[in-house]
Amino acid sequence: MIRRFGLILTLLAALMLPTFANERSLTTTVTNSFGVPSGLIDMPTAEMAPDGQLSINVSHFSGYTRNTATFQLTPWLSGSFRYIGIDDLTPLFDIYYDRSFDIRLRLMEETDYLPGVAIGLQDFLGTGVLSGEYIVATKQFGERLRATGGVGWGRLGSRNSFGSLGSRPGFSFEGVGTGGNFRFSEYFSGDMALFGGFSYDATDKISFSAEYSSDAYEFENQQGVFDADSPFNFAATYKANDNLIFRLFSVYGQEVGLTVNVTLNPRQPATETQGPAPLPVAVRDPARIKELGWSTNPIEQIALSSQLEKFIEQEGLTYIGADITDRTAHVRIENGIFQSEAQALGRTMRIMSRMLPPSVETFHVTVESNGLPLMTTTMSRTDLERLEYEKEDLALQAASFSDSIRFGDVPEPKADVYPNFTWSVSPTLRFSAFDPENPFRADLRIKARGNYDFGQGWLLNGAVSVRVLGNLGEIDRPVNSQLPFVRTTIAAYNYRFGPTIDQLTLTKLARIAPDVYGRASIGYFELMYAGVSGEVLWKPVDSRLALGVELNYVQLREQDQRFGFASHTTPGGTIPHVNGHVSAYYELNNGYQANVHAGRYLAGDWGATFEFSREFNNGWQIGAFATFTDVSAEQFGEGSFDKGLFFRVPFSWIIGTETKRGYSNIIRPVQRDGGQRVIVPNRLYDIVSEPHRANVASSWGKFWK
Amino acid sequence: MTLKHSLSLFALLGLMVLTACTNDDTRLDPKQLTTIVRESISQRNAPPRDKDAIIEAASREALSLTSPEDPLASIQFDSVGIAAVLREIEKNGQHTVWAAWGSSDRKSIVTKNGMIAATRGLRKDLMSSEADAVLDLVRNRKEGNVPYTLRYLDGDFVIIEAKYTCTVERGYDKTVALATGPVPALQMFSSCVSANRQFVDLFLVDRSGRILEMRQWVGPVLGFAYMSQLR
Repeated sequence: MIRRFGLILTLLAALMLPTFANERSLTTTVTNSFGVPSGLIDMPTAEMAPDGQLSINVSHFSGYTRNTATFQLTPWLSGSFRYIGIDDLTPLFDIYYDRSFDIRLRLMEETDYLPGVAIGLQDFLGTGVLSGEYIVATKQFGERLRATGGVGWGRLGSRNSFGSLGSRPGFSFEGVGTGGNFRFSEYFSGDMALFGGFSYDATDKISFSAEYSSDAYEFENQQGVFDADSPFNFAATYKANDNLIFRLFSVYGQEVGLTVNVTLNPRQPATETQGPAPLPVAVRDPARIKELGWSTNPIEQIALSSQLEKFIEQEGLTYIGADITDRTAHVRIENGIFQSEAQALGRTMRIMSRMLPPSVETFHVTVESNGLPLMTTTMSRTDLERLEYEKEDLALQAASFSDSIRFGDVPEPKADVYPNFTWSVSPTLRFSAFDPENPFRADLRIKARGNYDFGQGWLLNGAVSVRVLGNLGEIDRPVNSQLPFVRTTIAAYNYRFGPTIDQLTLTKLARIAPDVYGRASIGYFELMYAGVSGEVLWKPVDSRLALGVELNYVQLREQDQRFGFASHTTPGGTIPHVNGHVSAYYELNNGYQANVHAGRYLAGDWGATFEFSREFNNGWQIGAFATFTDVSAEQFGEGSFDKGLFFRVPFSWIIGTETKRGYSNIIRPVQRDGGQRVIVPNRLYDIVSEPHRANVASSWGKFWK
Repeated sequence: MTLKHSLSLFALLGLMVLTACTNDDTRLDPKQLTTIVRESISQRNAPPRDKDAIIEAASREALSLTSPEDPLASIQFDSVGIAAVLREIEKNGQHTVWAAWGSSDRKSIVTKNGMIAATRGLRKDLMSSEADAVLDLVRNRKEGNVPYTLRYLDGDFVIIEAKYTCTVERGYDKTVALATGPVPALQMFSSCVSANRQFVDLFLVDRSGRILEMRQWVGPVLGFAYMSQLR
């Protein structure tokens, strides 16, 4: 062990010589056949994708298909999730499907004289059928040529090994166990081998690659799937456009394959948003600032409010109310349209500057959500006039932000704001992924949703759906869980024709005290559970940290998802009624968010969920989570512990029209019963944190848009 | 998930956006989408028009229908196919906000002492700029090297700055035809360079320092703006 780390440290130290000149980031949007950023074919390089890049790679050669999603989480760190299918790898299945995760880290940027260096773990969390680790260096020569050399372990150390660090068992199905777990004792151990190659950009669209592979495909060879005779691989790559890359390759002197790589970057919208220009700020005539005649005329006051309402509603915002005095105006709005809360504030203040008499010098805007006043922003009108075309962050420095409750005197909602009923009918999707019999099944449903907002934080939300078409009904995998069946029976709920009651809840949101928010909910929360839920959240407007506590009493629903309830006694045990968590939420810089939820899960298991995500100002969110509870890997079953990815795609990013709507979902490699939480609508953190200072400040450029 | 599955998922998502209907006007209105689609199709199919002729006709009409004191200008962005006669709609210190004359569409151009300082409601708007040093040389018809900054919003709503160094030089004497008659002017060239871009702006400046005509780089999408004072 010591010897192994000694070698790794020596290698790292050799590569981390002092840098002499400019550092450069080696980036590429091309991915190799494992779907990670690399100009080579089967081997990794030290290249990273551009920051934020998301790619979906489908790579196929005879009997071997790999589907990989890779996200460049930071400029120096990428993560990948892979789903492969191999024909005849085992007599148990015609096609053996397998899920795996990779992580890659750039250790050193390329300089004029030294290569960029990266370290990576392939299939570090999975069955281990693809597992391998590497340290790799890449250097660019001129504008078009990149050369790579590296040392690999595991699969990547299996051809022409020059030494070894301890021993490492070869892959076997017997050794997999429940799979999906870390294998710390194996990383960077066993045989080591060298690999390398070149990539050359012949034109901006066409490039060629050649490599010497250190992967002998030993297990595939043993099973008679594939015989990797030659270590040399070659590829020709064609970039059809920024988002679509095709590659034709030959591997191991045996096979010809094809890769399609669809790639996008959340920071580059598919369609640029092109909304109407904001109204310009109206600058006051200094001579009229002392005129106060208007304030003694109640008719003029009413006219002002109605003008404000008209123009604020024209922007797509909801006008809740206003208080206007001689020198101060306070407007209360709800932003249901702009992704950027700063833009909603800017548009409102511009309107105030045009509508309000010159004597009004101080503007307050309170943003509410679901009837809860959340944050009050204050800016002097003089600053608004002075800074309209100055550097954007000057206005941020001139604004101040307060908790609306602490600020006090928030305008009351005008008489006709509540109750407010909204409805929608839209298609919706339920899907099931990674079933070995059919990796992707889905049902298209039509969902009718109604929201009745009584005001004062009282909400009645309902949703009903009917199945239109799909194949979710074909799932007939037996449930083999050793835990109470809290989620593994989801397939029996998903496929129902309906109409199903997807949600029916009465919620009360409340401001308990400054910085403190409360929620109480009762009803049918989600497909599987109904119940009663209570939550308290502490979140100061300018704090990156929030703390919450939630307690639920749940009741399992009948599978037809009408009003009935089912027994909590299941073959795996009895589902407890009570669960709950304490949570900590922390907003790191640059949109990174880290959350921890610790407590009791649906199956009665105790533990904690760790979430890490990157949230873009434009509404994109990509993250990963893992839950560790007191359930052992054997009890948990396949996958060993609960983990997965979650994402949100904002529709405005796709269509270029302002809307807060989006599509979000969670992808789990396998759905088991350990570490599962009930899904309760209107949880506080997202509602409360959205218009708070950190979000407003991070997209402040939009204040003037 | 195979590529076919991924593409099906995207298609389904698209369908979900397009076929939703609601009474909530803060949510996306599907009618809006069909309008956008229809507009983009009609733009694609429209025969090319002679923009100069259209602008000339609109300028004549605007000059005849507005008061002789009202400032008017014309603007063209060739790279995005925008052309309009502009009228002043607001002033803020040295900044003037212009919008299309005879139209209520919410697009605006902001000038500072005659130079474009910002745009709103166009594609990839110029959010703000730092041009006082360039303006000082151009309006005083002097030569020199000065800094120049243009600011934009990136796709994640973060302000990005493009910083240039500009060499301002005098050109030839020219005559500009305003509605009030011909005015003598001097060409002023501003050649700007950054790490990854360079462009040359051209201003025609009268003796009082007023910019009468210009070709100004506005941004990577909007390209060059051609703006002329009509009155």
